[in-house]
Amino acid sequence: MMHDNNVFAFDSSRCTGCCACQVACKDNHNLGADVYFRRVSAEDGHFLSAACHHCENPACVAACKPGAMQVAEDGTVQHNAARCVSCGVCWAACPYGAIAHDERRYIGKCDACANRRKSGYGTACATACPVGALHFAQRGGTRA
Amino acid sequence: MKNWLFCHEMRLFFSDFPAWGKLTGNTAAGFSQEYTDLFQGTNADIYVPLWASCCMEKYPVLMNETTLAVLTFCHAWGYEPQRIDGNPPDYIGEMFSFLAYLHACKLHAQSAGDPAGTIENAIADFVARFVRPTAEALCGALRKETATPLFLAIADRLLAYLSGEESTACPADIAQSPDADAHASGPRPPIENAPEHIVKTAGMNNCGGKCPIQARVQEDCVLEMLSECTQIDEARPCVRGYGYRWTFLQPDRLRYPMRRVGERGEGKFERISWDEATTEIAENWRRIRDAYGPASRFILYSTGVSALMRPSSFAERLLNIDGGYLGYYNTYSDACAEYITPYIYGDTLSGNSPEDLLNANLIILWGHNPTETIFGAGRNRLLADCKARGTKIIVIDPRESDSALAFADEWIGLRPSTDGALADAMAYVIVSENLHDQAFLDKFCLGFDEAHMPEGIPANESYEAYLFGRQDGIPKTPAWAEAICGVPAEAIIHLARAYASAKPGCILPGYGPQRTGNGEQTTRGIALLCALTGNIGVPGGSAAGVGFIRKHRNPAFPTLQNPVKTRIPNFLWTRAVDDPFSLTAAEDGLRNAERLDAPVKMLVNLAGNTLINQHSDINRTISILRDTTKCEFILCSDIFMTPSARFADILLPAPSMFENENITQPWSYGNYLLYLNRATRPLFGARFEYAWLREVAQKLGHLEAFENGHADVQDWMRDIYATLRESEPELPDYKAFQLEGGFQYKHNTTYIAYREQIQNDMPFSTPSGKIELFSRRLYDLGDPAHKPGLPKYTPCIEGFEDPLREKFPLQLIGWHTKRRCHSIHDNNPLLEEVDRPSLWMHPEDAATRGIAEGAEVLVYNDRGRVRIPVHVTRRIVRGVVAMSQGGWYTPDKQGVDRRGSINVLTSHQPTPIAKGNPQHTNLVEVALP
Repeated sequence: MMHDNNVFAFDSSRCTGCCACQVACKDNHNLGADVYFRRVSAEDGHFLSAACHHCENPACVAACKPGAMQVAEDGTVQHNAARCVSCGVCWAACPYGAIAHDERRYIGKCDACANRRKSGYGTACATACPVGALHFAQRGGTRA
Repeated sequence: MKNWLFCHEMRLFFSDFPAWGKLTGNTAAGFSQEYTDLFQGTNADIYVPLWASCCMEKYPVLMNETTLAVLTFCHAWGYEPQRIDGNPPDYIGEMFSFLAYLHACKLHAQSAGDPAGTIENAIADFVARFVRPTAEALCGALRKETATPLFLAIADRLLAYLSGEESTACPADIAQSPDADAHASGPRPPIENAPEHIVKTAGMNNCGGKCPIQARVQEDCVLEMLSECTQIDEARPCVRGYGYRWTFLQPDRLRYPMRRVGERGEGKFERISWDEATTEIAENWRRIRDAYGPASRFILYSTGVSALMRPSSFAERLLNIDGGYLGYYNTYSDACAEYITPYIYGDTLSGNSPEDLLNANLIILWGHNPTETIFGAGRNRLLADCKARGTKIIVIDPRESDSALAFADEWIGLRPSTDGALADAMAYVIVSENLHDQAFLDKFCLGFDEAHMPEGIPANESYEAYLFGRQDGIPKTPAWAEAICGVPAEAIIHLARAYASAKPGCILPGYGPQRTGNGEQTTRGIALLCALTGNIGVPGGSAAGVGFIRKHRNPAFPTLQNPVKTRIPNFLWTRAVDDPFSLTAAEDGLRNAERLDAPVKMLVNLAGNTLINQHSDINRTISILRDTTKCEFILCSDIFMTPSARFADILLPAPSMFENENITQPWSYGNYLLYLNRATRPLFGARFEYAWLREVAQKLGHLEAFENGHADVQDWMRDIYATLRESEPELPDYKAFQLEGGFQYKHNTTYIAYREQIQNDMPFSTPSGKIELFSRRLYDLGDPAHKPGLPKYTPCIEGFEDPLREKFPLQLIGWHTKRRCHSIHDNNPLLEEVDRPSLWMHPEDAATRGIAEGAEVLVYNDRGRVRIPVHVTRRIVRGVVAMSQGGWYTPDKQGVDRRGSINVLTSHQPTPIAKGNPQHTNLVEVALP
């Protein structure tokens, strides 16, 4: 299957650690206490804004037996709640800790603002970045 | 029928308590105070959740997508929520009103012999989705907050209803109820939801980057802050802007007008009507004016609404009509810099336009942390651009701030309140190595060397003489400075050379270094470096100082002339309450009077938190305000029960930025205006200050003069905008301005401070016409230790050299965290996750005290104690600790603050010249509790 291969592009040399992306994401997705689809941290003298990387070969998709975690046509990794049994395998498989899960259930992950993009908007986080450090772009292609 | 009765009874209980008492035969009268404490916010320490949107799993917030879901459900069955007492549509009383309506519909169907299954399902569905979680959270809170059987019985019966038990209820006549028509003829036709729309509004907190906001709104519910905020090219919201819903729509809003019933500050109030409130305000204002004179009335510095239609401006106008009030000068932000910059340059316009940063070869952010403070909405993007172009950026700060982490090639950590010593040593290196611009100094400056001193000043009073120790025998070498400021001499030499050779080099000072015990000298010392290197008046350079720029005009509300001419330095208002007649013109900076005419007997604090939280020495302020014989009347309006609001005698609920219209503009650094469109109607009983001050004006007999033909704020804004447009013809017409949510000027000039004076050899507005490095006006004050004629370093009270350091060895500073704008947003849970309260401490200081990362510690001095988790980090200088400013003062039973409210530890001692607030000059000790 051909994918558009959309990914986030992050430029840590421009990031000021302001966390606008993190809070815009939480506001957009109405995320509660201690649940993050995107989070900003200060590591070794620079800032990092991290979310699901929408990997080319996602470990979560490979691990998900019921097929709830899938690569969508636009190249983003999407979760299908109807197929999910909250087994936690995706959470364990993701090397980046990008999936929110607790003991009982799957909570969520970055959906690259699928609904917003359907309405012609960009992703909440990248659009929110006040210094142009975060973009949602085609892999190896131009910024979108 | 029993279920209808129960729901009807609950509707009454949550909307009309006396009527409920009458219906059920309960004596509601004796319980009305507790009723309002539990359900209407009259007790600051009680909170019972009453809205579905605040009882679901997520963080509580009013008027969100849950509210919309409740409303949509109601609409589908033809029910339009009544917005009981201004509550959101998902208020528990409203939901029971809707259930009563559905039960009446069901009774109709049954009596008509129609199948009632769909209605029964709807009832079950609505209860399961919305009523159950709300009632459970409500009952849980109720059982915690009260022991009164009357209220506990309500909790029990709510839970019994949820478990499907037959509800006991008293008789009521359905034909006389609001459900009569539903009972007679079944459900009304469905109501269609209004379509979703985008509301263009803006942030109006007191930060430099007034940001455009776009909110996605449907049926008054505020669903999302869109990141597509395109009304202004140069401005984007920061983290705070995206979190606005989670601040301003928090459920612990002030709901109705209140009068204090407990001790002042205790947080106990009773609900009163707006008419009672405005009558009482008018009576107190008049009584206090007649008893003590108009100068006994004071309006506190407040910035909660930093916009054209500003509550304190309305109060100023009304008091001016009514005989006046005691005025103030200075701000909590920049007292020293704003006061002293005219001594150097003759005015405060010492800044260059932000885009001029792109012309600098070197940028020194001196105590400047724009990524967190937000100085201008575009400044951080500009600095990121400068960094990307390879411009060298150095940050001087006791903390390695986020700005240092983001932008700096080099962080120079120094001890607080010693910036002047660093500046002096840099000057020493620059002059010693002949890197200074002698021609610039000769031509434009007064007081650098003995050949350029005012007449009649004795020998060796010039700055050069000071630098080389010709009077005190101490050359101000890098080694001398190292002992004071803690920066290694080598680093000082390196820094001085880098700055002097940058050509042009830009020092951009923040306001932190001047909020210190020697803030005036710090401002002067940094400005001297700009003159020494000839960086003033040239693109890419800077003049430092307070740094205002000339730009487009701002709209202004006419507050009229104050008949009382006396003004105090703002920071001394507590003394004007506590010990008024000790204040003098000579010692304390009184203006237009030798002494005060009257003690301050009345405080007006509208949309502000400097009554307690943002003023210094909270414990002392509290002890002054608790004494009701000193200040007799305190009036507050706000949107939350802030630490200041608790001290009100009359406390009034205000609408948030989502519920109001206004016009705002950035600080001195932007080229745009913003219009706030209303996103949702005012919640509960909230009223904008103009509306009720108009009623006060009426009761004082000043209505005509107060409104001058303007019945509401729209009238004022339209007129003021029209006036502004006469001098700013680029502005569109008012309707277009409103529709677009603001205006970005297209024709802007880049302002370079003092370019005219330097290029065209024009005089500065100082007495000598020169840049006054030496100030005769200060010299003549005759206090060279604290108010010297030269911009030299002076040690200060609670500075590094203070012997008090034996008892309290650590220097404490605050910083502006990205998660708050001053004290605004402290209640925001999304922003709390961004930066939680913590005390930054160097690993060596932690080790000597046996303190580990994350440990709860006590920070204390003679003024108070704060208990706070520690963050052990090398991002702070040894011997210094820091906590962010703005946390809401939250004392425990021992009076120890638990929220990192730094002003528990700061001092009322003003700075020597400006009488400003030295809130970063404090000595403390830290220990495990």
